[in-house]
Amino acid sequence: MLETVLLFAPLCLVASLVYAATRHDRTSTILWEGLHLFLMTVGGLVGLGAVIYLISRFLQPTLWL
Amino acid sequence: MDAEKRSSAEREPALPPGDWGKALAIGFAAWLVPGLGHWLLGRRGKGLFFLVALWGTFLAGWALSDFRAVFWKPDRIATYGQLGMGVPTLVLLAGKEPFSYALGRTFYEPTGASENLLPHYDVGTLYTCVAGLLNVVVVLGAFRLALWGGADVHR
Repeated sequence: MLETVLLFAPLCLVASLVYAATRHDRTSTILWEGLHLFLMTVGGLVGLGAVIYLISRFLQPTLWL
Repeated sequence: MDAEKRSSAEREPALPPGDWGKALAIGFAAWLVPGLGHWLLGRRGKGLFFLVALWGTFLAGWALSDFRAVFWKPDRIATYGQLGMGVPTLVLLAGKEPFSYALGRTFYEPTGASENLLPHYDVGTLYTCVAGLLNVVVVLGAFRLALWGGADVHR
């Protein structure tokens, strides 16, 4: 888990900052927008992972098939 | 007031209206070397940032894959993404000798067995591919900056 975060978080951060820099000129705006995009992306992935984990842990969807 | 003046100046196109030839040349330069388009248009800090960020991502991915993630194969989608990086991908695809001599390695398409032995091969491929695709976004940004001005999209 930690290895996954360490491998993918830097890529998410760079992608967020580069994308923000293509849309804005001010350094402070770029940093805020980049940080916002980064947190939303990582938060979304963690949230999605948590939902999938909870479903697989408690609901056992394979039993539905 | 100064901020408003500066803001309106930033919105001005970097080239005369309709100068598509120069804009295309800027776009081509931005594709060849990440950040060069912004550098030529006077956004030197931003150009330097793109250069460092994209080259860093590309080289990190290349190193993560044990220098084997960039190679040509017609049905390999990742190669098309990596082509967005311009010079490094073209050099790696066209002539492998300079790098292999410098690093004492041979670059080749990994076979199934060696690919399985490389723990971060897929991650390295992803890094190099994302760097190339991000450079496409940067190229389009430089093109927009040249023709229509490049101030903040949203304030």
